[in-house]
Amino acid sequence: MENYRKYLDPRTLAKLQGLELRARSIVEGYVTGAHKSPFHGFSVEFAEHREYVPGDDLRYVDWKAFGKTDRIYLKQYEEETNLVCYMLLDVSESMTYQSDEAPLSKLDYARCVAASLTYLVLQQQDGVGLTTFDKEVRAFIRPSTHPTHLKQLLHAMEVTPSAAKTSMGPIFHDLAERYKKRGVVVVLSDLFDDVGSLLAGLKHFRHRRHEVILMHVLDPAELDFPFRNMTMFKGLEGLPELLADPPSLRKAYLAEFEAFTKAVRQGCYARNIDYLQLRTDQPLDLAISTYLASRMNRVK
Amino acid sequence: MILGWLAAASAPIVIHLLNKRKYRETSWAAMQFLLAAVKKNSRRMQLEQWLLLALRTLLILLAVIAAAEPGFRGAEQLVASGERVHRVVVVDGSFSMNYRPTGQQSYFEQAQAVAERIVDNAREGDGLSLVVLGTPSRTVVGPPLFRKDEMRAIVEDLRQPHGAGNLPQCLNELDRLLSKSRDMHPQIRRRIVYFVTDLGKQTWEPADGARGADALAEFQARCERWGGDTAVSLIDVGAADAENSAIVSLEAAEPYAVVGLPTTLRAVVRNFGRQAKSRVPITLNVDGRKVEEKTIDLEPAGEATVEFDYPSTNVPRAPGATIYDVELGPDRLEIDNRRYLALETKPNLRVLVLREAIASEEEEYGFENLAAALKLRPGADLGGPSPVSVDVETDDVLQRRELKDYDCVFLVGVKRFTPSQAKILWSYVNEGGGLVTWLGPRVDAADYNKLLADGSERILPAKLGPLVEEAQYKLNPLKYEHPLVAEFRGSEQGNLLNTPVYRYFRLNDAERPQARRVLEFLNEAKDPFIVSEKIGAGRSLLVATSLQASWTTMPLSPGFVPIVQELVSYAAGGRTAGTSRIVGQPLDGAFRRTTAAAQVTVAIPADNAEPQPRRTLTTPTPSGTTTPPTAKLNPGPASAEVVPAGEFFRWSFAETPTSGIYAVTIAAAEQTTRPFAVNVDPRESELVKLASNRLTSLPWSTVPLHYSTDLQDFAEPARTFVASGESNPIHRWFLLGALVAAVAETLLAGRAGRGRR
Repeated sequence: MENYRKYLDPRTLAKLQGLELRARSIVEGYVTGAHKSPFHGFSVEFAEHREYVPGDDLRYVDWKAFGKTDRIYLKQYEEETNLVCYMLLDVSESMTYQSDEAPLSKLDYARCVAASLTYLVLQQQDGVGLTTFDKEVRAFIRPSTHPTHLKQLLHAMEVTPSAAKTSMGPIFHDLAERYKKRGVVVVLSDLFDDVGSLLAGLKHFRHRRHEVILMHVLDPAELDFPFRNMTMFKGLEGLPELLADPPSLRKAYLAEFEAFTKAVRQGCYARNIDYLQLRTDQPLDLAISTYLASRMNRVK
Repeated sequence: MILGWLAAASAPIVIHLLNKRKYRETSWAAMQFLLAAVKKNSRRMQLEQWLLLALRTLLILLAVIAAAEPGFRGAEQLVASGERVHRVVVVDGSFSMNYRPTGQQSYFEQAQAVAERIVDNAREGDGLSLVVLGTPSRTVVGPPLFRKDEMRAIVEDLRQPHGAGNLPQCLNELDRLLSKSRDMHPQIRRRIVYFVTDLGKQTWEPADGARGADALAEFQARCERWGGDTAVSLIDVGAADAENSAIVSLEAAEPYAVVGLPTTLRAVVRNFGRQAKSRVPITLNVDGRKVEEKTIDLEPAGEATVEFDYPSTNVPRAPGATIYDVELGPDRLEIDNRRYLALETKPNLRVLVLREAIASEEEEYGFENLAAALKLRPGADLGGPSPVSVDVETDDVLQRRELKDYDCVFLVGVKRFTPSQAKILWSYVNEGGGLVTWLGPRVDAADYNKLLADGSERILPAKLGPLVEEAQYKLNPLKYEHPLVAEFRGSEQGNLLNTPVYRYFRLNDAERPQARRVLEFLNEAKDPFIVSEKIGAGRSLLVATSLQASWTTMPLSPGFVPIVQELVSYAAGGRTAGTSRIVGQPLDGAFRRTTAAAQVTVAIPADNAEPQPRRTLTTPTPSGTTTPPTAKLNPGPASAEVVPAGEFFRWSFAETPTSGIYAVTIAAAEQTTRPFAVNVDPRESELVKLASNRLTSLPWSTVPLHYSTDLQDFAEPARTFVASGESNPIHRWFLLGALVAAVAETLLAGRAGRGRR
């Protein structure tokens, strides 16, 4: 099983080590200073003192410090909590597409991202689970924090075969019922499905108070449509083939594709879902670290 | 050729169809979007595809047609024949074109080559004309010639004339030629005048005031008058200012030659260049034989006078026509290195003095004085017989003696003449004789005025007025402008101007525009003292006073001998001086009409060692005839005119395009041959070149001017002009169409997504 190591590209993981994965405030645990956390007192570590400003909760005033210095300081805590991360990996046939310009197929790229995140989450002693799907769920592995769990997850990613057409809506509804503990749901897919049903499924996760990160994996050819010569396009997932002059079609195709991505993006925004478009020709580490950095900024 | 291009035009269709057959395959994940795009755009895409195909085919088709423009032009010519051009070649024939740069052809030969090239480059249907700019300018081929081979032969036959260039006259010729061309060939709508020239300043911008400074502006204005259908192409064969030296004049000290006296010849040599020349040989040839050689040194822009005495020894020489030519050592321009002079050598100079039979002692003394003064010739052997023979006769000898043997006739105080005597004198003067009239106390002024000074057969240069008895002590030499007194300038001999004159006739020369005063009295009335006039071929002089001491003390003064000798020289010079011409000036003369018909033949000087052509000019009919003109320049057409005038035949021969000796033989009752010396105009020897920008910078508006120094490729600018000006613009529309199609293709292809990533 040496080849799953490729998902843990040292270059990628070296970058991730320096970053701290954080869920947003709604994930279990709380941000220091936010007195309304339902899980206060859980796994709290003192971090530093901060000067009191009116409105702060008096419970966190360090009275000992006040006695010594005659100034009011608050104790600040840096909490670490068990985060549960659910990876959802699309393994349908459309994900196997790889254009000439792309170094990896969309599926391979998505596996890399999933593996990186899995490793990272497990390094933080948090739990991570994995579900692969196409038109139905192919593999379902429950979350666990055990370090040996990583191997199992990677194996599941590797062996899961690509198959038929995607049908995400019903699967997401199903999974939303099955994920009992609130956590972060990371969806990795090209989303070539009915947008309405897809967004309905994602909304179900949100309804279950999960934080959802939608990673939209796309091939550069799908975004740019760079073909110049007469081309026979052979449809995947049972779609028909088409002989076309790409230059004359390009504009119309790009318009259609832009309408699709825009619908997804706007749907995500409306449901407070983080949307990230990943091009398979982008550096893997850059994609992930950029996203994580932006998430950290949002948390702080 | 065109069919091949049309086949090329079908290339887009073939490519289009081939494209449909040839494609690559790829699997595609985002098929749903592609299908949606096709569904929405299929109709528009199909339309765009066909439009693009049509545009590309059209583009190639139009470009091919536009490129095939020469073929089209040929076709248009068949239909409209509007493309024909009348090409007028003007070859500069001024003799500076004879300049031969080191190791090259002379400018004239280069100009011939250019003219041949113009002929060769002319298209079928083009008319060709040829004009030689010279003095006079000649239209060699006027009405357009349409046969190139014939024109070529004419150009090859051109010989360098020896005249200067007369541009205004050449433009007159061109005016006539072009307007005739327009009238006779209205189907030829364009004209090009090619000037092939060395741009000699003497031709294009002569220094003399007459056609002076505005010559260039005048040239431009004249060309502009030809109108917009005429283009002017200036092909410059000349290099920058060149070195040259020339003999600018050759004269005999005396206008006649006699056996017993050596002839003194004066040649003036001028260096027109900027470099000094040393030990330049200068040779005197007499009748073609080398007689004497000297060497001279010439300063830059300097002049040197060389005198030759011939014969230099006491070798007796034969009487008859003698031809002198002086030749300067060779340089790059040969024509002006030689100058000719034709002079009749007489056994002696014969002078007839006519007087009244009865004369006072004082008068006799005067006659003796005159005869003595006439016989004294400077340089003559005093001990030997005088080279001048003087016959003193009474006036009645006029009826009996043939005057034409005399070189000069003096009338001294003759009272009156009979009409027949007057007639004899008139004939004598008209044929070239010299007449000197002294007045006297017996002179009947009314009779003189009636018979000698009035009417068409007059021989006196002024009418006689009243006798003036006021003593005059001063004479005005009138700046010594008259050749008779020119010798006195600066070295006035014998105090001539202070001679007292006690009595004189007031001469009236007001009605004689041809008369010239030699000397006049320095009084308020400015009465003339000596007046001269050329009458026919001869010369007549009138002195206002008498030889008697009671009228003037002149015969006693030291100035008397020189003035008498000058009077004779000048009067007798009529016969000899009439034989010198500048190239382009006509030869002319008169001879007595003793027979019903006469024949004049002119031997034209041999040119370029060609056999000397002999041309019979005329056999006069009662009205005179002309010879039929030919197209060749040299030997030129003989447009001689022989006009019977009273008891004379007047003849003239205009064609003197080259320098040299023209031997004119007059065959009437007896046959006489007179040589004429024709020399080049020394002004043309100054090889200063006109800066070409003087011409090109003129404000040419209606007539375009093309200037070129490239003798190989000169035709191109002219032809470009012709093409742009005269060609039918259809091909340009095709080109424009192709351009529009190209732009439309780019736009449409852009719209269809081609070329954008």
